[in-house]
Amino acid sequence: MDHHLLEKYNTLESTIHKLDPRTKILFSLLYVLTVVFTVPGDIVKLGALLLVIVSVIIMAKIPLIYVFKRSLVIFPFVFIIAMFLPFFSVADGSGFIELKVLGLNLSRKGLYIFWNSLFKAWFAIMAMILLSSTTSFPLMLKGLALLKVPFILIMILSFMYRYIFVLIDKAQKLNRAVKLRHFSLNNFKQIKIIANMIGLLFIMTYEKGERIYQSMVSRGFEGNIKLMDRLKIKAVDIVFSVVVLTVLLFINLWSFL
Amino acid sequence: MEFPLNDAIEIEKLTYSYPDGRVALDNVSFNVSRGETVGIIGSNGAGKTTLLLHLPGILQGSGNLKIAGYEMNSKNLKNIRKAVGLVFQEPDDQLFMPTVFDDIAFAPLQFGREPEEIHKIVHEVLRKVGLSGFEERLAHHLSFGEKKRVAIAVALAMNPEILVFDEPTSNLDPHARKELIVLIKGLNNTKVIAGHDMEMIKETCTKVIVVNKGKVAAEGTPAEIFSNKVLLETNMLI
Repeated sequence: MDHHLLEKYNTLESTIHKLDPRTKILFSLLYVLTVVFTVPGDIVKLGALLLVIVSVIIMAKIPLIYVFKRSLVIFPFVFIIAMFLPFFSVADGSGFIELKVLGLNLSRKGLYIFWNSLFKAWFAIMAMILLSSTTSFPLMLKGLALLKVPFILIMILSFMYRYIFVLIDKAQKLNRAVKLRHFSLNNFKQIKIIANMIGLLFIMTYEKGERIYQSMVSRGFEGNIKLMDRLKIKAVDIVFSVVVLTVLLFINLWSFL
Repeated sequence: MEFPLNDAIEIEKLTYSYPDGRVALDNVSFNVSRGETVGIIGSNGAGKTTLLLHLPGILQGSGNLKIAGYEMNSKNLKNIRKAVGLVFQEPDDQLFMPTVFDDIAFAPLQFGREPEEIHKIVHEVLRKVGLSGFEERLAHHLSFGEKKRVAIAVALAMNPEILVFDEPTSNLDPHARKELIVLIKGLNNTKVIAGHDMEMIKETCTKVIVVNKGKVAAEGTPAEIFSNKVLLETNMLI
């Protein structure tokens, strides 16, 4: 089992990896916002933004091809959400139909927005892949906690990260036990057995949760977890912030110059 | 560290039933002196784990318990939990934070220790269990033996008077088992060790308590208990 998919490039040494998680989270957000607020069709600005993300990926020593492959995952989602855009002219709300292709009525403006959303989503997912491949999950949680993300969310994510691997192992063991008895999970007639397995897994996690709670209680948990922050903003964070902020500002204000 | 002069653990007529009414512990009484290592042996389902969970007050049956000189009641619960370090059988149940550092720091943080002190504690307990430098390791990347050691480090973090182990050697390979026994023997806290690894109990304990169906069936020195074949057989231990 590949437990380390999430963490494949987390241990590389680069300027980007050394940045404080807060810096990375904030700049990823800023980048996504800049992308989202780009006027459709502003090719120059989109190109500049692509250049920014690609140069940061190269700085982080993460293979471009890896980021590209992983970013493909976003396309089905965008397709489903944006698939009807070409059939309406959303921008002016008039539903004015301008094109006829293979007997379908398409709107030029809708198509235009569709392509734009596709590119914007792609840029945004690349920023997220970059963030998650340069920041280990525990550090990301610490950063989010310091950025005042509600504590309960942080704890849910933390437990999920800790136990998802345990759960995957359990599921694999169950699967192996099933295979040993020549049972095919592809057979629809046996859906009842699959349902039982899922139920079993659920009960296992429930019981594990109970024991984890006992462990927490025996270590002084009283309903409120206290955490420790061990992060410090370093010089490299300030340099990175100034540079990227300048670049993003320049890109944003380009058209006014 | 100063301990009160009485016994580390005093249990008198402890009775506990599961929510479904099944009796798990029936009139259990015994004492553990300070510095003593006590083994609790019994077959599967004899009530060992249930008994251990009473020591830090996670389960609360009827009867009188005095742990580290504190009467078991809600007022003393915090002090009792500071005084008892519990090592679970399954380290995945005990290590619930993403990194080793956060796991060990959990208890000291909840009990309000200062950050500088916590760094020292983490460093010190990791050295004690022979895992220096493991602070930033991720829990799911550790081997089973390492997880067991981290679990002991976690229990040591509050410098507890009493250490409680639930089947410490289960699932370990012979080498890791031997090393763990050496580690346990090297800790000079009062220890309560439950298990059915008889060799390990023989090697580490100064007193052995046999439990069967929630009752104390016998109590004595390891030599007395392990030479009594009839006793072991009636309690399903051989």
